[in-house]
Amino acid sequence: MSDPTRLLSEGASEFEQELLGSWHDEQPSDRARRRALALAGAGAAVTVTASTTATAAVAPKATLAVVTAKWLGMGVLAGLATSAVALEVAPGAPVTTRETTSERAPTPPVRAPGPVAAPMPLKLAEPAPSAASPGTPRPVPAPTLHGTLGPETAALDQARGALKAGDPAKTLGLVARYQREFPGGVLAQEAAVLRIDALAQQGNRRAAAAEARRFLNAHPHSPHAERLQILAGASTNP
Amino acid sequence: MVAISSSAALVRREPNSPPASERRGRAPDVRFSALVDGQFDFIWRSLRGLGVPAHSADDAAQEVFWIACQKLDAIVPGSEKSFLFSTALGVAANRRRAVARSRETADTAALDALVDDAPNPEELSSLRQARALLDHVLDAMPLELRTVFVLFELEELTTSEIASLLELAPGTVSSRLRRAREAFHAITRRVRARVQPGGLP
Repeated sequence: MSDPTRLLSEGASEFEQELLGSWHDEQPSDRARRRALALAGAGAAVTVTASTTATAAVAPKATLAVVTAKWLGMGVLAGLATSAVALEVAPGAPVTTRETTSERAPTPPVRAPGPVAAPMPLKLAEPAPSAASPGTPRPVPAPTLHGTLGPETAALDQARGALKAGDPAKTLGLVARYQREFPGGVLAQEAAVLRIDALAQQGNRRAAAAEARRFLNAHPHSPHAERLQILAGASTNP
Repeated sequence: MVAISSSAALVRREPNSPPASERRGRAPDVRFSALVDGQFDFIWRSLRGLGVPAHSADDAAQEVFWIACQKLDAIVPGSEKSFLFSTALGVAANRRRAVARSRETADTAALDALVDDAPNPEELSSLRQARALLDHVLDAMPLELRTVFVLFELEELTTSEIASLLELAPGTVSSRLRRAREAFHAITRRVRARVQPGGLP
């Protein structure tokens, strides 16, 4: 059976033709296409980061560790997209720019790697102070980072895994534990973002939006800012 | 209600496979880039046609492709367009709800009410008239009719392509297209009567 002739070619009034003919007046911008293409590059960046983590963890230069940690954090962010969709907000483009080290929160004293990655019983859904809260005193910066990077990454990997498994309460518990273990840690921003996403996944949109706004106030130039801006505005459209 | 094909049916079941973010390094991003190159404009326009406002169409399209990027390795080759469109249907539905613009009722009273919201002649001076009016007419159509109308009349897909995309029987597509045209004619007549008071017989 053949298709009918399209209205624009036959059967539409002049007024209808004008309306139908306006369809292609609108096209996406090149910028929008580039943003979509950048998604693939961001995914690749996550993999590159993972492959360099082991090296960075033992590198003597703190700056290398910081840069690597940033990308690890982006990997954490990238893994959270599903929960962002569940909140009915666009997850936004993953980070495509590197944050400068000067923007980071001061780093904590070097710790001996503890049993961070080991499983432990959790008090779930324990309220945790946001690492992004403005005015929260930060620990004195430490001269080196590589001593905590591995444990920090392991701790956040656990939290990320819990979020991906759809267990926001466990995620919140793990993030709270991270924040207790590593106050002002290298991945503090990523922990805060994980907490926000867990709140969102839990359905606590108001709290998620409030924490997102606090984060943006504290870190307006963070690589996570673009996506959190959407989250921060979500509570205005319940 | 429109029959929204489940994008879950368009992905391969690989229970033990790692997440896409961990596989991305093994699989070049050529496939995803081709997806963006080939389908981005279609998806962006479809989102507009499905009721996503112009100011948020970029973000909505980004959301669709982000989901596709995450599930890329699991999308069955050849079903990419179906996956993207079914994802776009869901994203558009969320966006419409978010702006409290759900307009899926089909009864005459509802259509009248919607058309009564049409911009008056003075307001039209600040609008890109034809396109703004087209959006208005589409907004007044039931979603299941609107979807078929956009795909056939505006995106110029064939009915069999639409049937495949929406996982509908070809006869259902033809029936919806016929009803969509009737609705389109009825709504445009009312809109025209309002914006061009002397223009109708």
